[in-house]
Amino acid sequence: MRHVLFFIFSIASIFAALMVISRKNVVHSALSLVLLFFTTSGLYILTGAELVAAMQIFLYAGAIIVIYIFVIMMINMRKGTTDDIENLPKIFIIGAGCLFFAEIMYFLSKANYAGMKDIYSVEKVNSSGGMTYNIAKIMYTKYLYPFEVISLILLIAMIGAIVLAKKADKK
Amino acid sequence: MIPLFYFIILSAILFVIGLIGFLIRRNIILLFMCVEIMLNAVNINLVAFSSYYDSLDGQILSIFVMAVAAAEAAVGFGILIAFYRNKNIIDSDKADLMKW
Repeated sequence: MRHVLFFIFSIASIFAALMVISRKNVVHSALSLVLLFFTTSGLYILTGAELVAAMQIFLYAGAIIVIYIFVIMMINMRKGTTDDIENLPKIFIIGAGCLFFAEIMYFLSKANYAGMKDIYSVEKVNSSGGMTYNIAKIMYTKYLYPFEVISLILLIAMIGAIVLAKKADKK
Repeated sequence: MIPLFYFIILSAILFVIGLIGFLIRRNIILLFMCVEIMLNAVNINLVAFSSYYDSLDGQILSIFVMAVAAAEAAVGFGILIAFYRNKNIIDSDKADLMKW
């Protein structure tokens, strides 16, 4: 059952990713991106990461896609772009991508995955307050410093986006 | 349990699709979307490894990746809107202000 769900979600996500990079209309690409985010969220549920799955839907499919749609609506697509490669045929780029994939697969098949098991098994997590509780416990102790850095990054990105998108004041 | 290698193959396929899209498209909004696909592939890898090694560090890292993706989208679109306002184009090949 889990295998069937995994194959459904993975084929749907690959299809959605191909739709994103191949559609002429950018709105269709954005909607395919929503499908990709939802199928990825399903994959997270299959591995038991329910908090990450929920955050995927809230943050990506909720917040980031809204920014994309807003910017697409703000910009006149017809005028600005001619979306075609002229100087280099697409087949070279796709071949280079396939070569890169073969390279990744070659090195991953040689890798050794026998890692150290940590203490947070599924049974232990479920018996000690659930996934969200345990993630919060680690995030505010072991990862407190990166967490603060991330909050600072988000603040700076917000201020920077406002400053960049502001209309220059006329003298 | 689904084998770990399935997740790794899926994430490699998604990453390569994002990479190819980044190279063949010229619309800057689509380039941002391809970056999001690649970040999603990385997140799948992190979450799968975290579940296979009974650790929660990978999930926390994937949450950090999501936060950085949100920051990247905000700043990138700020730059894109400023660029569009000045030049009236969204074609990455025509952005040649700093070309040598």
